[in-house]
Amino acid sequence: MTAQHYGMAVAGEASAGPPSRRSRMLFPVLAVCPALALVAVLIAYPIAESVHISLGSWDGVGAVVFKGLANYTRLFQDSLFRQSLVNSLLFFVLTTAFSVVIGGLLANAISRGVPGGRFFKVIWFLPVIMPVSVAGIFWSNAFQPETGIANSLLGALGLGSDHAWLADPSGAIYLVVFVAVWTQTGYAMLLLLGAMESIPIEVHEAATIDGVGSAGRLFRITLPNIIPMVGTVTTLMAVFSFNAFGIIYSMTRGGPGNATSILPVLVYKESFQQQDYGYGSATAVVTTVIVGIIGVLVLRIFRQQTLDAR
Amino acid sequence: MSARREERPSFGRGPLWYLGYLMLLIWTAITLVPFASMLLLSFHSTSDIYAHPLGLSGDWQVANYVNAWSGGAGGAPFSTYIINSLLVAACSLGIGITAGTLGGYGLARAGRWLSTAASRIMVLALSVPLVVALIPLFQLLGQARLLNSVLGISLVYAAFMTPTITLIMRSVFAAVPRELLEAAKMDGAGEVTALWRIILPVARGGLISAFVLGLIFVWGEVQFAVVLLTRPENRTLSVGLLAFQGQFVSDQGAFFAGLVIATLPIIVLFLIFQKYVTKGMTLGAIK
Repeated sequence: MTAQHYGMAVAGEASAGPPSRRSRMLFPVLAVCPALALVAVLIAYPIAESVHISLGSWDGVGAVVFKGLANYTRLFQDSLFRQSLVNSLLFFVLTTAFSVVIGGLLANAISRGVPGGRFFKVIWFLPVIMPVSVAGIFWSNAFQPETGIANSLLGALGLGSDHAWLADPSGAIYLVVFVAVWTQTGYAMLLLLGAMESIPIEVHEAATIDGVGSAGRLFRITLPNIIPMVGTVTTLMAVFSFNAFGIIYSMTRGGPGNATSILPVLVYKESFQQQDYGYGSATAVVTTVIVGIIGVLVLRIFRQQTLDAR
Repeated sequence: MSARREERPSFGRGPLWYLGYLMLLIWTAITLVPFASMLLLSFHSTSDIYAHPLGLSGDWQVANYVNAWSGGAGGAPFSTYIINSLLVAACSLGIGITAGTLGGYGLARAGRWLSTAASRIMVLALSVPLVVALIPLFQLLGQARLLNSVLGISLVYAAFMTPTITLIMRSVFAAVPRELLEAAKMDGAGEVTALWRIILPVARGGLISAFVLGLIFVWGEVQFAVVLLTRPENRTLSVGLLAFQGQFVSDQGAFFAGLVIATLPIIVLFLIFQKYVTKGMTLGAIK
């Protein structure tokens, strides 16, 4: 109705002539400005300033004192940094792998129309919506010996109720991975499901007639067709897990010791607990470079896969 | 969509099928445990919770919610955190959605060069790890005397949600029929009025997506809030909860009631606008 109304208005005003090209282009350019300004001042400038601070020392007040690459050379001799880097890589590899694989299997089940699929889809997505601090606090509570729900369930099964998982320096990281997988899998499922549902049903039918079983269809039809989306999802999950400050901070604060300290947590500790902002910035810059490299690598691998699949 | 699903060939149900289905049920249980457990425990007293950690027996009470709402030792009451979160959400969504909608509209209509360049910038901004902006933003807001303020953190949140909203709105406006755009432009009303009266109603779905996604982000964000809001009375819900854990060590019931109060509104909102959330998340991910 509105379209019709405006159609007539255009016809009526045709004699006035169309606006000049310049004025037509001016509004779109102006419209993009606020968004670009926000991004420039509060995202782009901080990145540049991070590099600046990382090249000096700053204690939170006054000016940054230039020190050259001192923070970076210190970083590569720092065992705490090395530990956090190893933690980050372990955390990222496990979290990404589990959330993509579980998300893919869940999506596959829904796209094959398992009973209750539409209900499952909503349920499985809920953890993505839950505030990460609630998830972290709940699960760290659940893993407490004796009083936590995980332990009391195990106790009820006769498996003992005194497991102090989060106090165990070698085991705590796996619990944190579990909670990260718990919060991210629903997102992976949603995106992969979207890609699976765009595969024409005839392709599956033809394969079934040719005698391909359901596992065979998953590997020979579904997977090759969704490889580009698997690449996108893997990149997203990798970036999320590298940035998973919220989950780790609310569960363990990086402890026990530094057993679950990933790079963003280390940045927080160096800067806002030790007021060593220059060093923290250097850690943050290196973290960003690593995230960038991983993102590019993952996309490369999947682009290669896409070509092979054709 | 549902008609299509019915056409799916039926698959044989061997033992493997049942094993697979059992796995789905187990994952569903793991997904639901925290929600159910929080809700059950929030109605019990501390001694009941320690005696029955599953929360299935003991006395039932609602006083926990009152205690959580009015707060405990060493922190602000829960009501303060909720109000702060709502203020920050309103302020950051106001700024972010305005900038993102205008930006998306501009990108959908601008010449190819500007559109490509600006879209690339938005995608890049989307992939920046938050941690690299943390220290400079602390410095910047400190200089502007905006630490511990609603406006300060709202500007930061708005900036970080702008790329997503811009990209969502660009794809929404790109799908608006060209004739409608042309017609709106030709009408003497002017660009802003045309956008407001003709284009925006068409883009309603995209706006709802942007709104709910932004709210989910603000409601759960921890990293910036921990650094930029250090005083208890300024904290938002997500970081208030972290202090809350310490505030209520001796009142576990109130502690779980707090977790429920923090989770319930956002879950209800999601269930209402489910379609828009999933659509927005899909659009935001496809770069």
